[in-house]
Amino acid sequence: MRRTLSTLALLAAAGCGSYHTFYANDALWDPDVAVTTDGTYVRLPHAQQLIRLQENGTYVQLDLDGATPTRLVTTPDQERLLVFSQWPECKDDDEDIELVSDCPSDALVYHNELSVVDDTTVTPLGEIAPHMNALAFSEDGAIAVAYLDYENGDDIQIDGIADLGEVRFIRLSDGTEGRVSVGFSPERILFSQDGETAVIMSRSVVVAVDLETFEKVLEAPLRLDADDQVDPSGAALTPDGGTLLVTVVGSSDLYMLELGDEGAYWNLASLGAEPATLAVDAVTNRSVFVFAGAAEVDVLDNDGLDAFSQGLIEQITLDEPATDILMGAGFAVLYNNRNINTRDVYQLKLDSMELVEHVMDNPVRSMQLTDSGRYGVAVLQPEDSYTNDLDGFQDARWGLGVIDLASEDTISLVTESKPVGVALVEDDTSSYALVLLEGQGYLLYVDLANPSVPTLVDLPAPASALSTLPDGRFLISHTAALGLVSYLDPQTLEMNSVDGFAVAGLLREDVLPRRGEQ
Amino acid sequence: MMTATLLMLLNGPAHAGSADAADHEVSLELGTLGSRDENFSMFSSDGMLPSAGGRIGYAVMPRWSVLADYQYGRYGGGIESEVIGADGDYDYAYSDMDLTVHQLSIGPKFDLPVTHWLRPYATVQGMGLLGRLGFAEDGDEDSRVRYGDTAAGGLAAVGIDLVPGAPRARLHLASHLEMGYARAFALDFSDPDAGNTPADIGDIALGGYYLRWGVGIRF
Repeated sequence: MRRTLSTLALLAAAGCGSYHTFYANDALWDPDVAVTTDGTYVRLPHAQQLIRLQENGTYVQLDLDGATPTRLVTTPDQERLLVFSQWPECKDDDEDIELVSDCPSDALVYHNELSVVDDTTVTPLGEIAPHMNALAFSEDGAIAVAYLDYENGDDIQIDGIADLGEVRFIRLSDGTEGRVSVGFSPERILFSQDGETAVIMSRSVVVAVDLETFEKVLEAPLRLDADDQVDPSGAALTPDGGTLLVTVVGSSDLYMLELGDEGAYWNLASLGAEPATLAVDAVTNRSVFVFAGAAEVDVLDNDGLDAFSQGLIEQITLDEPATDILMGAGFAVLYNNRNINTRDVYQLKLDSMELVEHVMDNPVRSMQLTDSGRYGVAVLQPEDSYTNDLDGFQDARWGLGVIDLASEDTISLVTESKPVGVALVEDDTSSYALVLLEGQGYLLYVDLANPSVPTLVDLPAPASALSTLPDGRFLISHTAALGLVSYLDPQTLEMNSVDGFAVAGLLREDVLPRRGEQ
Repeated sequence: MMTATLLMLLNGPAHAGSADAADHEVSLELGTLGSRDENFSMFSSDGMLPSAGGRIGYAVMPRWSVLADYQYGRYGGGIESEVIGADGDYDYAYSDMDLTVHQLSIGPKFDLPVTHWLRPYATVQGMGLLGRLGFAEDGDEDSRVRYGDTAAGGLAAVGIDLVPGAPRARLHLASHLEMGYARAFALDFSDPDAGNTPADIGDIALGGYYLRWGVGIRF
């Protein structure tokens, strides 16, 4: 009866057509694209596909053998792409089962794998444990290290049994790999500048791994008593690779692991408080530490670490605490992005220890330095405002701060909405910031020498992400359902947009891949 | 004068409406197109879509005629999908989507008259399909892209012709109701401008049970 009524209704509607809304479970495309030298790789979550997009609007669907790409990571040299993917297997061999939805739920399992893509050629690197959600790369990008980053592990999956302390090394050129168990919760992976060693911090232990053999060559405990628990919070290698500096959670101690030929040993130093972060400057060979709970910056002279004494650490008082560091050549820029009641940005010249204080009009959310180190550009966030005057107006709004580190001039600008992407561009004579604002159909092009008079560049749609292309141009992802990206030349401000690519594979069927394969 | 002419056409002596029941006919139709294809759910939640068209029948011998049928359907719709915005926050966006189908079929029709006004029939027809698939950002016609494909198939159906009026009238008003089953190869849509290799968008296989109702004239 219902069918008959439905049919009669359809007959009545005939001639004027019908209208139906299809609700997709996922986005048609992910604007968080991956950019390599051979193109722009875009995930299509609904179609469960990966495409490579070219600037002329052409695109290619990559063959992942039925796997759904879940995450894209570009190698540091932007030559290759690593793809995390997942494919379903139905353990029920019934020949009538063709679609994923046909498979009984208790027979359906998912496999996770990692592949490397080079110019659309997909080379599987094999299965990867589903909990391995993070990748680090050696300095030359030749070796990838997969591990579990629990802080970013929204949905950690365990198939059967898993060693959460395992780190997997993969040589991308030939797919050879090594697996090393480095203790509980490996978090920070550093690479020596000679490319021979990786140093991995995990709870209460530091492990060094030879990148040629993938063998563990050093294991240095961070504790004397097995009952103690020491979690590294930050780590850095000195420029000569001879000393590993480790800060730990809940302690003002600085662990210094000397990695000399005569064997490794620890030195211990005391800092002013529990460090928020640390950074190392190769020009002056100094290490810098800042603290969320103390208004000071500590500077360690790395030159004397082979005969360490507490006197190598110089403590400099600040007006407000800093929690983050940007390192320039011979100087550090310190700012606080955790406390919305702080507005100070400091420039610390590491050769003279001269401290320059810049006061922004709003708290700093994030900050970048131009390559030359001439300018610092900060995204300023709103703060609590209790007045109706101009100060209150500015306090309640997002903004952009520009610091001329040479002239020591500072300016805080108010933006129409939240900056969602900032990229800095420099040529021989000029420095510019490209700023995308949330929900706005234009791009701010800010001459950092004259930031008060930005140029507005019209966009085809509001932007959601900004990526840097290997040739120095920019790729802007827009909020458009069917896919829209723009290629922007920062010198000429010429823009070329490509759209509609998210329809690829839109009418897909959930066919079970690799059916019948062993 | 016009009325008199019409009455003469409807009631006057003629060879039409004979007991052998193979008249020429011209009809307008409303109907449905169906599909069991999972992808068809993007355009219809119950696997059926309305269509409009017409058919022409040419009597070739008693009880036998050749029937040519055309159906047109345009199925507007939209896709509501997530859009990943700035800072990874999710919003929902709407995009327009439409499927246009032209279906042309031709084949023999065999009448089995019960009375001069009640004429069951059966038909089998070869079928050609032209499908056009379109997408556009919500409300932005400039962004509309279209892809097309053709497919072949066939149908088999039974129906009833109702031909009221005097049996020997030259011209009859008539109505018919037809139900049948159609099968066709899938419309396979691809984007030829994607590059050297056209990008695959996907396919839709039209076919399945259908229903048509029409009114027209017999002569």
